[in-house]
Amino acid sequence: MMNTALVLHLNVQQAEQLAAQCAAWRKYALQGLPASLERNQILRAVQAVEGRLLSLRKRQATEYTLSLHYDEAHALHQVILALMHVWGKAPNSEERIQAIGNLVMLRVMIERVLYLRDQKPDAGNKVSG
Amino acid sequence: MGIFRWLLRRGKPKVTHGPWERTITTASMGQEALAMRRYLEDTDYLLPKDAEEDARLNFQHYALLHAIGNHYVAPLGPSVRLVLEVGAGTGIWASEMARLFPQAEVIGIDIDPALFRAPAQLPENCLLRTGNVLTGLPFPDGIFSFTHQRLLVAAIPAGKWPGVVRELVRVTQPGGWVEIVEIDSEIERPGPATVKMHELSAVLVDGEPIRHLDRMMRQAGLQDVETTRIPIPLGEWGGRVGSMMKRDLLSACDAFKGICVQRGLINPQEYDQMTSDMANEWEQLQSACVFYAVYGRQPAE
Repeated sequence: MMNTALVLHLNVQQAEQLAAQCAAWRKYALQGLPASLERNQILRAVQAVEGRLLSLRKRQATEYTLSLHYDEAHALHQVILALMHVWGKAPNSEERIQAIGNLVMLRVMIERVLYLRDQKPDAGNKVSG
Repeated sequence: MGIFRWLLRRGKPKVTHGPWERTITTASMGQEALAMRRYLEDTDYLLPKDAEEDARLNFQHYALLHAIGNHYVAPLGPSVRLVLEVGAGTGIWASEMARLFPQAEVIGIDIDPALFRAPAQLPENCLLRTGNVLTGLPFPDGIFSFTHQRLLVAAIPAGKWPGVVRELVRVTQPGGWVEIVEIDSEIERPGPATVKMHELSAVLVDGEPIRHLDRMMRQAGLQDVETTRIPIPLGEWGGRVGSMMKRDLLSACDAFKGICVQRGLINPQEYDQMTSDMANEWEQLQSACVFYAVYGRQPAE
């Protein structure tokens, strides 16, 4: 598993939304997905990201810089796709439209950092912490 | 923090066998079929405290780890410095958390130190000590960044839960997390033997407060309170986690047998038949037990 550091720049609203999606997916996974090594790896990665997001919130800044390991960004990407799938099957409502809109925005942000990482000539270099 | 480093260097905790300890013997139960188990006297704890229970608690720890995916459910940040576990048992959770957070100090407390791992088996940043949440935790206000309590439903009388939650909150620092993980007394898709076991256990353990932990946490002043309901399969049908949880729950039922028989609620043969039938039911009906993980955060200053 590669640990290349990626950076996500988030405004307050985006950070709140990402933390909320992490919490929602963890709840969904613990309630409904059978335990497996893969599920548990994603759970731990998402839990760590959620914890860091909540810690950033304490600083009360207008913009946050969230450092992600590659596997965390990959886990977030999978989570967002899974939540889009769940909301996609829900009956049409204002809440559904809002949720899918937020998820699309987060998906684009994460795919962008994953894409940028793949474009870097030194992609794959390991960093500590 | 210094006081805890000092305590860590003090070496092996003194294992005491106080007046609360007793052994329910075959004679006192009047049933030769019952194995000798060690119980605590003058406490509300209903399960045994002996080597067999030690093995069960360690196995349970790993079953829960596979089922929940981590040692905790709260979204802890990177700044965890001081962790408390209430009802540490063997100290396995505290020990593994100390390895997971090497920058933190982890303290486990339990009313009975007899099952504690030897200090040589613990990481340097882990300390186990005697303490009782029902009589007040031996710590000042607001010092822990994470306070964790798990599976004490058989140790805490229903009416004392609000006070216990307040005590956990009291020792947690502003911005710190409190987490309680408990098992619900009801089983999903039960058969007749499982229902009978539920009725029997309800005589001794009131599991109702477990469903109101979120309210208690809010009343104690926590915010961002979340409850996660975690169904875990019971039996081979549920794969590795299901097999482990079935084995753990049957073992817990075995541990519960002594107190049920001693109080005249059931005879040993009937109890054994009930647990055997229950194990079969779980496979046939694809039963599941339900855990609740409830966590909340102290408001930041």
